[in-house]
Amino acid sequence: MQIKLIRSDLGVAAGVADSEDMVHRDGRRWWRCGAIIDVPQRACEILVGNGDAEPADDEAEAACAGWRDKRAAVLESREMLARGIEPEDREAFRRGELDTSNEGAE
Amino acid sequence: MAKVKVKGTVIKQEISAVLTAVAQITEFDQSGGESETFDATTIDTSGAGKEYEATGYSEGGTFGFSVFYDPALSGHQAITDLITTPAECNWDITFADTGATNCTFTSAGVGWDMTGAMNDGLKASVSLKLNGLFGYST
Repeated sequence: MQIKLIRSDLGVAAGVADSEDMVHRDGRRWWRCGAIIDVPQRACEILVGNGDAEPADDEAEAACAGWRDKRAAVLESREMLARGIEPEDREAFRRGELDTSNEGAE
Repeated sequence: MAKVKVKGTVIKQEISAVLTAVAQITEFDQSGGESETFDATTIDTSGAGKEYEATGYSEGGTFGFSVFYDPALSGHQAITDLITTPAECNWDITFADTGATNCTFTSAGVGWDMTGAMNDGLKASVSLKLNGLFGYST
């Protein structure tokens, strides 16, 4: 089944052959945001559930039934994770009061 | 030279060729990495000091981290999946230094301990047995 990656900070695991779905940045390989890749069902469930990807075919859509529920909260949590926002700072982040320009965002 | 803060460090796990961040980590550690030696002392060794030589092998040791465990979180389920379905897994730790230095390693096995206490959140400790060496920054 296929998923579409929706972040630009997803690294490429070692041993994966180069492809046009990857970009080189800072000496490392990253999946291109929008890349569509084939994955097993469990990986599909995890990556979609984690806010890294969206289903890109009917099979993936069926495997991730209900994935749109609370999607905004999932994506917000994923963004805070990427920026290293700690739980006590999350409300301030939501209010736009936190300077995260140097918080580990990629 | 810099004192690197830990806040902002990101630990990523491979999910089908994609390295994605593990959420709600509170601390991490790496231990047990060492170059292996053997006792090379002989009865005609001069002096009192015992002698050791390198075997040529090195132990990768373990990498551990603790999380506020959310059983409904996909990323945490991906870790326990490695217990129910044992498999090697690639990991990446990206430090919060200005260059966002990263180190990679491969786990061969996973240990999982969960704790719950009245005065704390649900927690889990993860212990990864390295296959090969930790990808130290050079």
